[in-house]
Amino acid sequence: MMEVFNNFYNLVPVTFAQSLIYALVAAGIMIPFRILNFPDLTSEGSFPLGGSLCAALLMAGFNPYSATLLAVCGAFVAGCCTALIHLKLKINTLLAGILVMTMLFSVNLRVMGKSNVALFSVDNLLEKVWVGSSTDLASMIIMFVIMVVVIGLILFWFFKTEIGMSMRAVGANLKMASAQGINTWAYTIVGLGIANALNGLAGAVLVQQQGYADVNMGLGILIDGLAAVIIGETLLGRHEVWRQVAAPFLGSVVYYQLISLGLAAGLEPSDIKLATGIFVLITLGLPVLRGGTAETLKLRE
Amino acid sequence: MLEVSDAVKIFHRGTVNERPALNGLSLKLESGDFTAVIGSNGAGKSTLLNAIAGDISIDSGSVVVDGNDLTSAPTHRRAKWVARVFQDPLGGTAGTMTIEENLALAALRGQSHSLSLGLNAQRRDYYRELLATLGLGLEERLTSKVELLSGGQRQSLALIMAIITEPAVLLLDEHCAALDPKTAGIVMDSTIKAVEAAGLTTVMVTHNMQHAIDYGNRLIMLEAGQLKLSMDGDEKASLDVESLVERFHITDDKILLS
Repeated sequence: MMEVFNNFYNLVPVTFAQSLIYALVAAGIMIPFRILNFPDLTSEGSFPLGGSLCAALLMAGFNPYSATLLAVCGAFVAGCCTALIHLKLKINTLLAGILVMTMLFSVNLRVMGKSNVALFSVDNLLEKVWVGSSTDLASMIIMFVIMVVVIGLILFWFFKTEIGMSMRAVGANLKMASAQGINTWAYTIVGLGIANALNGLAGAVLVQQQGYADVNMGLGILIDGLAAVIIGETLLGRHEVWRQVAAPFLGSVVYYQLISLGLAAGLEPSDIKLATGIFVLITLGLPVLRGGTAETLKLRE
Repeated sequence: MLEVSDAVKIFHRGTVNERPALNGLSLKLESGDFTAVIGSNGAGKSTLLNAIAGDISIDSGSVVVDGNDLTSAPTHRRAKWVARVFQDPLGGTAGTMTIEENLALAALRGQSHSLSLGLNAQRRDYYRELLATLGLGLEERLTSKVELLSGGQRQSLALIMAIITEPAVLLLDEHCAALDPKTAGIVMDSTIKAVEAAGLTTVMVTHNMQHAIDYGNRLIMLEAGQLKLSMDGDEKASLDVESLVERFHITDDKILLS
């Protein structure tokens, strides 16, 4: 028992650092699912796209800033594609996301030229920003905390602006939104773009933090992110804008510590996805089994 | 001023289900006209409102508001001139957003949206003032979620949202039909007060004959997508339900019973 605790305790800081990166993915999942009412699965592709693009550009000699920025832009475009496929071709939101995510797998392989790329030989963002070593855990955590807090505050402020409120209205009631003069197409496209830009940023930062990119890095990321969002909402609620925005960030920190605890207690790493899936199923399904109203993931048709 | 000219809309054209909803309908409303629209189911009332609002595009003809040809404009572009209260109280408001946020979105209708905060003290004061005119106490609940309101409160809010920009054309789509009679009366009173205060050009679709007679300076009846009869001024003022039934040869029981 003591050993389990020690194993877990020693990993708390590094797990915390990584959970801050994954918090961006959770935020990128929260926006389409909760704000836009558009269940978007693109993150399984846009997260590794951000990583692949960033890795390829770094290897091609780009500096970490422009490599990260271009990776974010690439992921933004991926999100816009999913929205356009749904809006223009009338394809179901979930299917649109699956299509883009599947196609991105090939794109990511093309971008990197192989299935994984080591980045130990090139400068990365963490070293640039701190002019130190990327293995210095304390300064890395400070950097990630600042990044996550700034992005969280920007999102909170954004959803209170005229434009952000309009985006929320598009998710709340499409008919009402267009009757109030809101261009629902434009807001859906840009909203999915922003969400996937966050996924791409997470991918770009993660490959620089861990020193390599892998084409399979997005596998299961959507359910991880969704689990984080659900945990955050359970702890904070979602009835005010700040709660909804903070939920994925807090949820991600808690979720990855729980995973770490599970691993320390002897859970096989290969069983994690099963455990996470069961967790998501229970949290989404339990209210229904209890006879309450289903908080289902609504589909926009 | 609203001018609908030779509007044609045929659903399922070229199939066995082909159904003309608007069949060369023309309608002209001067500024400040309040027109009640009656007609049996399928007469084209809803299609007419949808065609004016932009939710459907007409096959031929034109829709012009205050000299602006809106025939091919999408709904969100027409919102600068055209506001609407839907029949369904859930339709015109965003339930998961607060009362003040709904009002802010409505107040921005037709303007470009910016990255400045959507709400401030000045705007809140203005919304409180507007809501107070309803006499429902909503001015004390600015930060309540709209989904917590009753149907009547929600429809009253939708009404305030529709008139907040003083639109060139106000469309009322049987907006009291889903409410109980008492609430419907309250919402209708608020409607009339607001429309008269601002002198709004209004098209009100209703199934309620008494409402059609009591309110507005014009009354039109649609049948098979065409204007069957139209009356205004003194002629309308002297109307009662019985003479209306006689004049319009109303045989549809549904209209009479409602």
